[in-house]
Amino acid sequence: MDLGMIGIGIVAVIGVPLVLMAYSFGTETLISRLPDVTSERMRPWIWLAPALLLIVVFYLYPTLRTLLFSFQNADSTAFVGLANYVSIFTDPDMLSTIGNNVLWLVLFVMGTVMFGIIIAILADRVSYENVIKSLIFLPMAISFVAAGVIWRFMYEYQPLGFAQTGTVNALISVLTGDDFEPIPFLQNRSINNIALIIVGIWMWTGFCMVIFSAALKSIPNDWLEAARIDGATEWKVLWYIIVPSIRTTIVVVATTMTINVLKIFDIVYTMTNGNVGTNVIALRMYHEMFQFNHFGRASAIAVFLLVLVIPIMVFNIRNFQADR
Amino acid sequence: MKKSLIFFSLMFAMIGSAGTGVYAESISILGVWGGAELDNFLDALTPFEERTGHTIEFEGTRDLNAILRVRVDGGNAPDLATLPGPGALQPYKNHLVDLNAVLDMGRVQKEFHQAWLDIGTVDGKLVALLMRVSPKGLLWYNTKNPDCKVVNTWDEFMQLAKMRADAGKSTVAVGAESGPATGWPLTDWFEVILVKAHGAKVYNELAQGKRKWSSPEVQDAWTKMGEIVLDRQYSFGAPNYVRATSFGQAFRPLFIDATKAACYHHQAIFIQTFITEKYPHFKAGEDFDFFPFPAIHPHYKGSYMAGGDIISLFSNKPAPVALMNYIASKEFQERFAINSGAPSPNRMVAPAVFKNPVTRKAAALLNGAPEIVFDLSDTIPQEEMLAFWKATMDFAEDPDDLHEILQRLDQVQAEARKK
Amino acid sequence: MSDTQKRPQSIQGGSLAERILKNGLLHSSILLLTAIWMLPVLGLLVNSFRPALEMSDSGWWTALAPPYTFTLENYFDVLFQTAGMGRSFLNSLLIAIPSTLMPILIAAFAAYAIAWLEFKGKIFIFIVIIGLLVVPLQMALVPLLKLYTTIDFNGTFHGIWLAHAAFGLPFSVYLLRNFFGNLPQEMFEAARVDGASHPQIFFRILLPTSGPGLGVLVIFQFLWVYNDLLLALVFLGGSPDVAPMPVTISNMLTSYGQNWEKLTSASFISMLLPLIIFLSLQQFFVRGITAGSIR
Repeated sequence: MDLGMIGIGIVAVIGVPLVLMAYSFGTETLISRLPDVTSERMRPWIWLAPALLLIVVFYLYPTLRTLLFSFQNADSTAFVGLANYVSIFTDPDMLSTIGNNVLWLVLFVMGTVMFGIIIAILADRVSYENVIKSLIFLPMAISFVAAGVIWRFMYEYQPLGFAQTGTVNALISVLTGDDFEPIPFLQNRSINNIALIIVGIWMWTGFCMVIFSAALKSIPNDWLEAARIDGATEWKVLWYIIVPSIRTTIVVVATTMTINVLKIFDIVYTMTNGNVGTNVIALRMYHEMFQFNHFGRASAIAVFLLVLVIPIMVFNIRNFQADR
Repeated sequence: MKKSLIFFSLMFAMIGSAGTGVYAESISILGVWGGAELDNFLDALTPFEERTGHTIEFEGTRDLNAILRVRVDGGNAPDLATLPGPGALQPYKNHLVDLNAVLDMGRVQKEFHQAWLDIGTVDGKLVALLMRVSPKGLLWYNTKNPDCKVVNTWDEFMQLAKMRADAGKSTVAVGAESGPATGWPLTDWFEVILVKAHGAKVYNELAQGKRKWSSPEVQDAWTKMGEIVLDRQYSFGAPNYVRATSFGQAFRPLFIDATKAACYHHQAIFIQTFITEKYPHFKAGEDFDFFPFPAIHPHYKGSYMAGGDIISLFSNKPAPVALMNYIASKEFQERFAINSGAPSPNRMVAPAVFKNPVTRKAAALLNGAPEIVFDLSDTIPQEEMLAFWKATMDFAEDPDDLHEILQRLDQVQAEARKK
Repeated sequence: MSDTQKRPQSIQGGSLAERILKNGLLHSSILLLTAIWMLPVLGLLVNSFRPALEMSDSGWWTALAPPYTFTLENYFDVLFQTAGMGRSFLNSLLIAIPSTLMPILIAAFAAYAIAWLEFKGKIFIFIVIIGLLVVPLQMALVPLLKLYTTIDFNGTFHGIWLAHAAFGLPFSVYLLRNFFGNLPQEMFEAARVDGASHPQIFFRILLPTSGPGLGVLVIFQFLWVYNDLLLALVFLGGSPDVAPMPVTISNMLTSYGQNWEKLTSASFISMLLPLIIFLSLQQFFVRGITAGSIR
C-alpha cells in the first residue's frame, strides 16, 4: 500500500464533507431565487438526493432483481410462477424454521431492549458509568468469529467422569455434585435454541444500551431537576419523565432488533449451522443460494422477509404520525 | 554514439525482461486454506514464482462457496480456485477452462492414474486437477496400549469390541462436530463400511446417483455404522460425545488412562498433525500408528478410500495456465506432498520421499491399492452432500428414524440430478 | 453548563438509611449484572494468556490456581509472527474511516429532510427506508459486483467505501431521524424567525446539538465496517496488500480450524480500536447540550 492510498483516504475524509457542504449551501442559494412555493417543494428532495442516489444503485436495483428471480427457476433461466413460494411453504422444515424466528422474536427482542434500558438507566447514575458501558459494549466490539470461540468455551461438553472444560457445565457440576450428567447444549433440542438466543442477547444488549444511553442524555436536565425539586420520587421520575421521553427511541430500538431477528444469521451459522432444529430464515436463504444453488427459492425467501417487515412498517408509521 | 548506446541498453533491458516469456503478472488463487497448510502450499509454488517472475496472490476465505459463487457470477472470478471435491464443480462447469486444451496432456496422462483424472472430469471436460490425496478409512491406535491391536477382519474387530464391552471399556472414539460441516466424520464411517462390505461398484453407483440411498446394501452400511458408532458400549461416550465433540479432539480418548481409553479412531491421514500438535513428544509410527479399516467382506479387502484437494482454472491467460502446468508437474507435487505430509496423485512421486513412516505407509498403500474410491460426500452434488451431513446427525440423534432419513436423501438425490 | 450536568444523579432524598439501601441496591445490581455479562469474555481473556495446548484440555478457571502457566506467546504470535498484520491494520483504518464518515453526513442530510421538512411522499420515503433495513446483503452482492466489474471499481478502496456507505444508510437515516425529531421544535422556529437558511440551521445548530445521536452512529458504523468480512472479500479481494484485519485473522485458521487458539489473542488485539473509539466518543454523551441552546 502506498502513500498514494493514504493520500486518497485523506482526500476522501476531508473532501467529501467539503463537497457536501458546498452542495447544500450552493443548492440553497440557487433555489432561494425561486418563488417560495417552488423552493419549499424542491428543498426536501435536494437534501435527500445523495442518499437516494446511493440507495437506488445499491439497494433498489438488486431488490427488484431479487423480486424477479423469485419467480424464476434455480439458475434464473426460466419463469416458474409461484412454484418457489409453494415449495418453501410446503416444506415442513420451513415451518419449524419460522417457529425458531418467532422464538427469537419474543426472547431476543424483549431481552435486549429490557436489559438495554435497565443498564442504560442504572449506569447513568453511577460515577463509573463509562466503565460499565464499555464492558457491556465489549461483546459487540468483538467480531462474530471471536464470539463463536467465546461461546464454544462456555458450552463445551465432556462426557461423564471427565473434568468439564465448558464454563456452564462446570458451574452446574459445582452446584449439583458429581452425579451430574453434562449437557451438550447445542445438541439438545429442548434448549439449543435458547442457548443460541442467550448468545444473541449477550451480544446485542450493548447495542440497545448505547442507543438508550444517548437518548437518556438528550433529556434536558432541567426537566429532571425540576421534578426532583418538586419532590418526585425516583420511580415517578422514571415512569413519568424518562420513559415517555425515550418512547420514540424504544420504538426505533425495538424495530431494529425485530428486523435483526428476521436477519439473524451469523450466530446460528457459526455455532450449529441450523442443525438439530435451530435453523432460521436467513440461514435457510443462505443455504438455498450458496449451497443448493437455487437462486429462485433463495429470492423467494428474501421477498418473504420483505413481506414480514410490513407490519413493522405500519407500526412505525403510526408512531411517526402520532409524533408530529 | 550516445543515442545508439541508449538504444541498445533499452533493447537489452527489454529482451532481458522478455526472457522470462511474458511480463511479470499477478495470479490470483482463491481457497479455504490458512495457517500452516497455506504456508505449505505457497512454499511449493516458490520455484514457479522464481522462474517466471509471476507473483501469486492467495486469497483465503472459510466461506469459499459464497465468495467464489458471487465472484464468478459477478464477473470477477479468480484465476484459480481450490475446491474440496468434484461435487463442488457443478455450478461452475461453464466457467471453467477445459484442461485438456491447455495442459501438457501427454505428460499428465502418463503421470496420473486415470481414476484421478476422472474425478476432475465433468461432462467430458477435464476441469480440475488433484493436488493432494488424503487417504481415508484408516484406523488409528495407540501403539503403547497393549489391549489395542491391529485387527484385519470385521469378525476380529467385533470380537475385540464385545470383549472390551464386557469389561466396561469402549472400542472406538468418534467426534462428528465441525461447525457448519458437522456430520462429515460420520459420513466417512459410513463410506468406508459401504465400500468394505459391498464393494466399489455399489459405492460408485451411489456416488453417481444411479443407486438409491434406500437400497438394501446402503441401508445395511448405515445400520452397521450405527451399531458401532452410536452404541454406548462400543463407542466412547456415545451418543452425546459423538454428537458434541469436535473431530479435531476425538482422538484423545485413545491416549488417556488405559482403563478408560478407547482403542481406535477412524480418520484420514491429516489427523496425525493434530495428534503431534497435542502431544508434541509423540513420534509418528512409534507412539501412534494406523492400519487400514478391516475387511468386512473378504472380496472387498483391497478397496481403499481417499479424499483430496482439487484445483481448477477459471482463466485461460498464459500466466495462470503456466501455473496449472506447474501444479501438475512432479516438482510441485513432490514438494507439496512432503510439506503437507499427504501423498500425491502423481505417480512420479515415490513413497520413499516421505521421512514420516506413517505417511510413507499411507502413500505405499495408495500406490499399491487394487481399487480406490473417492470420498463420496465430495463427489456427489453439493445439495446432496449437505443433506448427507445432516442425515448422519439426524441418525445420530435417533437411529430408529433411518427409514425416513434415507427416503429424504433419495428425494434430494433425485432433485439434485435433475439439472 | 453547570456542574450538576456532569455529575451523575445518585439517589437523593429520603433518610440516610434509605439512601444507603437504595444506593447499595443500585451499585450491587449494576455490578452483578456487569460481572455476569463479563464472564464469557473473562474466559477468553484468561485463555489468551495460556499456552495453546492447555486451552483445550482444561477450563480457563483452572489457570487461576497454581501452577501458573501464563504466557504471552499467543499475543507475540499474532502481533509479530503473522505475516501482514501491521499492513492489514492500516488497511482496516483506510477502509473504515472514510466508510464511517461519509454515510453519516449523507444520512444526516436525508434525516434532516424527513424530520424537519414537510413534503409529499415523506411517508413513502420513510417506508422505503424501513423496508431496506431487512434486505439481506447477500442478495445485493452479485448484481453489484457485475456493476463494479464493468466500471472497474473492483479491488479499489473507493469501491468499498461506496458500498459500505450505501449499506449503512438505511439504519443511519432511521436512527438520525429519530434523534433529530426529538429535538425541541422551538429551537428551529427561533432560528427560522431569525432568518437562518436551512444549511445554516443544519451545520450551526442541528449537528452540534446532536452529539449523542451522531456519536452512536459513528460507533456502530465504524464497528460494522471494521469487523466486516463479507464485503471486503467480495469487493476488495482478500489479497494481502488490501486485506483488512478480519480477513488476515480468519486466515490464521487452517481449513480444519487449527490455530483457533490464536483467535483468543487476536480478538482482543482487534477489539482495542473500537473500544478506544467508544470511550473517546463518550464525551459527546453528556446531558444538557440541548438545554442551553433555547435560552
